[in-house]
Amino acid sequence: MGGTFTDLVMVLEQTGEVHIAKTPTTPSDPALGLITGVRQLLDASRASPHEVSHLLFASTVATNAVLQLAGARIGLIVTKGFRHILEIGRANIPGRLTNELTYRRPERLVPLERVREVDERCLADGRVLRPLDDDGTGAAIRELVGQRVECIAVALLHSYANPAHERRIRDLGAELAPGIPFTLSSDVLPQYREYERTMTTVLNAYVMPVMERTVRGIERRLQESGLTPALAVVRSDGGLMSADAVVGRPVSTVLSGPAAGVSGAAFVARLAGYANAISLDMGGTSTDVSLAAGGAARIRAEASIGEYPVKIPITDVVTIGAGGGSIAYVSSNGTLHVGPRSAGAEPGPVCYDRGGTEVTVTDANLALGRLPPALLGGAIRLNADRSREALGALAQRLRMDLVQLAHGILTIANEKMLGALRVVSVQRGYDPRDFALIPFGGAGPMHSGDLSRLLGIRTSVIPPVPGVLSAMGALVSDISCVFTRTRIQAVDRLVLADVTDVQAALATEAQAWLQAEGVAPERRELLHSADLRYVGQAYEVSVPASGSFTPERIAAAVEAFHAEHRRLYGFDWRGQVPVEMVAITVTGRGRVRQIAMAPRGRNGGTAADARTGARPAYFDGRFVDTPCFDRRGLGPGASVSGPAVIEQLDCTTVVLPGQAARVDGYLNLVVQEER
Amino acid sequence: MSSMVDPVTLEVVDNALYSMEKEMEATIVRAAMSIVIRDIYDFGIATLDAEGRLVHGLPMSGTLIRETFPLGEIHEGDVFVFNDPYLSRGEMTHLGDTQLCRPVFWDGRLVAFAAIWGHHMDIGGISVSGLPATSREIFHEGIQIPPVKLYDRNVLNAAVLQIMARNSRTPEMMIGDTLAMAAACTVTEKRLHELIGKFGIETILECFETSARRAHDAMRRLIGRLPEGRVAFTDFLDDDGVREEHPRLCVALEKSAERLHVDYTGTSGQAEGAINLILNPNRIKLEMWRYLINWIGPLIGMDHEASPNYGIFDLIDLTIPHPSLLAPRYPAAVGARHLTSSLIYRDMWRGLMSQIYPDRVPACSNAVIPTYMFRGIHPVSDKLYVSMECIAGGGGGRPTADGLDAVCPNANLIIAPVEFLETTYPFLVEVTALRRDTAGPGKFRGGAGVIRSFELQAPEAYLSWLDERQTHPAWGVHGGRPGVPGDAYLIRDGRTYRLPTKHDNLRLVLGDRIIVRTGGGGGYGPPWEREVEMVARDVARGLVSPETARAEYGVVLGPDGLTPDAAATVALRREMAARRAVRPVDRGTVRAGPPPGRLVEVEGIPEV
Repeated sequence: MGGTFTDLVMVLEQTGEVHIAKTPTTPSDPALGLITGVRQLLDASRASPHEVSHLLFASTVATNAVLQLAGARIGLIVTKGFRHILEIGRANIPGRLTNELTYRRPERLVPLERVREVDERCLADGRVLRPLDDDGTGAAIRELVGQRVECIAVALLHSYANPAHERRIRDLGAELAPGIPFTLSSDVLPQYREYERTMTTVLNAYVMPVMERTVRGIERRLQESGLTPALAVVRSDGGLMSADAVVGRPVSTVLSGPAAGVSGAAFVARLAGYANAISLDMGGTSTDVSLAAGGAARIRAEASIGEYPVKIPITDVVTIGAGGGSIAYVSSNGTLHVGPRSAGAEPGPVCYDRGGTEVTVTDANLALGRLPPALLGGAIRLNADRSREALGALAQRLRMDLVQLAHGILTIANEKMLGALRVVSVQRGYDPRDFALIPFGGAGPMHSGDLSRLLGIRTSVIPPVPGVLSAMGALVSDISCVFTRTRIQAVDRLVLADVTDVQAALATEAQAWLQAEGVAPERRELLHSADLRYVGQAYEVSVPASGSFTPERIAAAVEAFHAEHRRLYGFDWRGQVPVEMVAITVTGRGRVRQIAMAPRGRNGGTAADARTGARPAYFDGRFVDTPCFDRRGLGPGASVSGPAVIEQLDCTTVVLPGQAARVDGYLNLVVQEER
Repeated sequence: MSSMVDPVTLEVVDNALYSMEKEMEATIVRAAMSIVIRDIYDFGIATLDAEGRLVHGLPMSGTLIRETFPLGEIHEGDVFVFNDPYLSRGEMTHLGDTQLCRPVFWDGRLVAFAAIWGHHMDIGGISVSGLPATSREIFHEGIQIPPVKLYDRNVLNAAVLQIMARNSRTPEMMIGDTLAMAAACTVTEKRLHELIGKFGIETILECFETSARRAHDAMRRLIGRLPEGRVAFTDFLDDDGVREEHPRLCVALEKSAERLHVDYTGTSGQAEGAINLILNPNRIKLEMWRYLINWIGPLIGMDHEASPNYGIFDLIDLTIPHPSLLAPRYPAAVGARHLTSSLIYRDMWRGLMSQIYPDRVPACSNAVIPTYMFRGIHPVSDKLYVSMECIAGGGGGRPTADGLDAVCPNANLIIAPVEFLETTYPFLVEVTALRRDTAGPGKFRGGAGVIRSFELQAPEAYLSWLDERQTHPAWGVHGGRPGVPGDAYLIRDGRTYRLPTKHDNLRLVLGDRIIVRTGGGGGYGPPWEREVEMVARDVARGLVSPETARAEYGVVLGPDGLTPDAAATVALRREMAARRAVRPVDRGTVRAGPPPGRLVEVEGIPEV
C-alpha cells in the first residue's frame, strides 16, 4: 500500500498463475483501496473469497504518519532528571558546521508538555539505586490521561538491564488509564544508548493507534467480503509478522515498503537464476538502492525516518535524491548540478507540459531519443519542443551543445546513482560484478544499461511488471522476528554457561513467538548470531553462529568477525586487539509459503512481432536509428539486440549497443552484455 | 595553465571526491576506538594536491610534508604523521590533534595526498586528552611529533607507533585510532586510483585546478559584494587559566580595491596559560569562506555546494601581531587553543558581519565546548581510564529562527549518552537537562544551556576541564538580550565550591559531585516583538519562567499561569517598546569570574 497506489499480486497455489491489480490508495481508510483491489483479483482469477489463505502486505501507513506528523497524541514517561532527552538528543547538527545558521531541529513527536519524569533509578548493571515512586508515577499517568493522550511511551535509564520499573509503570497504567496502550523501551529496544532507545519507543507509540486502526479496518472489510485469510505485514527488515503482533510493534514497519521491494527484487533475481542481486528503484524524486547476497538482503541496526533516528533491524536501503524528475541547473559559479531538487509529479518535467519550466533528467532522456513520445499508454503526451527549448536555454548558459548537455545531465544523474550503488556494494566489501542488477520504478530500466556497464555488472533483470515488485516481495517473505540481548564480555574471558543461558532464553522467546504466530513446528527455524567488536570500538559487526555456543563455535564466530571486519573496513586487528561479544541474537523464522510461479514455456511473440517502429536515439556520441518494441508483444524466448528501446505501460527499457535483451520463461527481460 | 575541464566532468569528479570522503568518515567512525573520534566525531578528512594544498574537504594542508621531505623520499605506500603545532605553523593547532597524510601516486608520479586528522584520546602531558588548561609551555602538553613516516612503502614503522602509544595514557586507543585513520587513507588512495583510471590523470589534475579557480572566482565575487569600508569588533575571554585578567581579542575587517584585509591588532599578548592559538592564515581564510558564502552567497545567487580550497588564499591579507595570543612564541603553551579559536573562527565573524548584514547574521552562541575530562583507576577493571565529555551550550538566536538549544556547533561535537558513560566509567549522571531562563531573550531567543551532573563512584579520580564565557555572556544583537553564562561546581560533604573556568587535575573522592551548567545563546531582535504564543509555549515547557516572560518579553500570564492576558500584554509591550533601547550588540554585564587555580566556597546547591 503505497502513498498513491495500492498494488496487489495474487498467486494461485495450484496452478502458479499470477494476477495483478492496481487501485488508488485511500489514505483516510486504507482498507477501502485494498479491498477494491482484492475484489478485482477475485473477479479476474475467479477464485472464491474463502479460498484466500494468506494476505500479506507492505504498508507505508507508519512511515507516512511520521513524515506527515500525523501520528497519535502521545505521552512520554522518563527518569527524573532527563525530561529533555528528546530536546537534547545527541546535541549535534547534521551535515556541515555552518548549518548552525540554518538548521532547524525536527518537530518533537511528543512536546515537553506531555513528558513526565518519575523518581526512580537503575544502574548500568541493573541494580536498583532508587525504587520507583508509585505515587508520583500514578500522578504522572493521571496528568497524561487528563491531557487526552492516546498512547504512552515509557523509557527509563538502563531499562535494558532491568525492565522492572518500566513494567511496574505499565501495570499501574492498566489500573489508572484503562484502554490507553503503554509501550516500553525495554520491549521495543532493549539496548543501551538512551536517546536512540527513547526515540524508537516514542516512534512506536506515535504510530501505534493509526496502525491498529488500519489493521482492524482491513480485518473488518475482509470479513465483510467473506475473506478470512491469515493477515501479516512486512517489517522493515523484510520479515513478516502477524498483523496482531504488528499492532504492538508498529515501529518495525516504518520501512516496510522499501524492504518488500528489495525482497521482491531478490525473488525476481532468483527466478532468473541469480542469487546475488542489487536492486535499483528509481522513481521521480529519489532512488532506493539495496543489495541482497545469497538471496538475503543486508540488514542494519539503525536508520532514520525523515530526521528521526530509529534503531530497529532494517533492510540496508540507500536513498539518494536523484530521479527522473531531478532538476538540472547551473549554479552562479557556472557549475552544472542535477538534483536533489525535483519537479516531482506536479508540475513535473518540462516535457509533461504541466507548467514545469526547469529541465529534468526525463527531459534529457527525451532529447536523446530514449523516451517514447507518450507515456503510460498515451496517458501522458510529451511535449518535445518545449522540452528542447528549455534544454537549449540551459545549454546556452553553459556554452554547450544541447545534445552534449542532455548527455551531461544523464552522466551526472548516473554518477549520483552510481555513488549509491557503490555504497551498498564496493563500500560494504562486495564486488558488484558478482551481482545482477534489478532495476524497477518508472525510470530504473531507462538508466540500468548505463549503470550496469559502469559498475561492470553483466546482467540486469527487469521484472515483467516493475510497478508491483513490492507487492511481490510481501508474497515471498518469511515470518520472522529477531530477539536480541546485550551482554558485553571479552571473548577470551567469556563465561560460556552465561552465553548459552541467554541463547536458550532467546530461543524460548522465539519459539513462543512462532507459536503465537501460528507457525507449525516443522516450518520453524532458529538462526543464531552474535554481535562482536574489537575492545574499544563502539560499533559491532554481526556474525552468524551455527547454533548454541561451544568453544569451537565461538572460535569460528571470532574468525568470521575478523574476516567480516576486513571486508567492511579494509583491515582487521587479528591478534592485535582482543575481541568482545556485545549482543546475542536469535532469529525465529517460519517459512510461510513456497511460492511456485509457473514458467510460461517458449511461445509468444518474437522481436519482429513486437517491433513498433524506430527513432533516432543517442548512443556513444551520435544518434543512431534505434528500433522500438512493445514489451507486451515479447514472449518467452524473444530476444532483441541493442541499441533498442523497449516500451511498456509503466516504464521504458533502454538496451545499449553491445547489450542484448532476452525474455525468460517468467517474462523477465534479461539484459546482458554481448561480449 | 591547462584548458578548462567541462562542467559535467567537474561535477562528477566533485561528487566522487565527496562520496570518497564520506566513505572514509564511515570507516573511521565504525573502526575507531576512542569516544573522541567515534562518538564525538572530532576528526576531519580532505583531499590535497601534489603540493599538499587543500583541494576538497575540511581545512587541512600537507605542505609541511613537501617542505620536510624531498620528492625522492616520498614513496607510494608511505603514510606521514605529525602533530607539531609550531613546525606546521598552526596546521595542527595543538598536540591532541594528529594528522596522517598518504601520498597518492600514478604512473610513478606524486599526484595527490589523502589526509585525515583526528583528536587522540590522550597524548600524554600534564593532563588528559591533549587538552591541558594550565600548561605553561608545549613541553607540558604531551608528545610532539614532527613529520615522520608511520608507514614506509606500506610497512608500518612500529617504533613510531610504540613511542606514540607509550606516551599516551590510553595506548590501545592511540594504536587503534591511528591504524583506523591510516586504513581510511588507504581507502581514499584506492578510490582516487579508481577515479584516475576512469577519467585519466590529466583530467583529474585539471579538475583540481579548475575547482581552485572556481573557488577563487567565487571568493572574488563574494568580496565584490561586500561594501567598501572598515568594521571592527572586540570580545573577551574569561582568563588564561593562570592570570586573573580577561584576554582581549580584536579584529577589523577592511575592504578596499577588491581585497579583504583582516587585522588582529589590539589583541592581547601571549598568554601564560594554554589558550594561545597559532593562527594559521590559510585556515582563517577557509573559515571566512564558510560564513561569507552563507551570508553573502544567497544575495548573489550562490549556493552552498562549492567546497573551499587553496584557490581563495590570495584574495585576503592578514595582520597578526607578533608575538601575541594569536602568534605565540615557541615554546608557549597552546593546548587549550580551541577556546580562543571558537571566538576567532565564529563569534568574532558574527560580530563583524552583523554590522554589515544585520538581517542575516545570528547572535553569539554560547558553545565554546565546555569539556570535562576524568582520569582514574576503574574500580571494576582495575585499569586506568580516561574520559572526555563535551557538554553542549545554547546557540545564538537567528534572524528567522530561535537559536538551537543544546548544541556544540564549534566542531559539531556530540554529547555522550549517559548509559554509555555509566557503563564505561565509575560515575553516576543524575541529570542532563536544559536550563530554564538561560536563553538570551529576543524576538528569536537564544538556545538554552544544559546542566549535567557527575557523581564519582570510585575511591578517587582526577578531573581536568576547560570552559569559557562564564564572565562575558553570549551577546544578543539588534535588541536581543545576552544569554545567561555557565558555571560549574563541586559538591563535597554538603558544601559547594565554585570551580575555576579551567583547571587541571582536581582530585575527587568517592561521592564528590560535579555540576556543570552551560550558558545560553544571545537573542536576536527585541524580545517584546516575540510572538506571544511562542513565549507562552516556552513557559508551558518550562524553558522560560513566568517572571522572565513578563520582565523581558512583556508577556503577562493569566491566573492559570499559562494563558497570556492579551490586554495587559499589549499595554506592557507598548511601554517596553517606548522605553527600552535597541542595542546593535547587547553584551550584558560582565560577571565576576572565579579566580584561576582556586576553589571558592559558595552558599547552597546550584539550581537545575
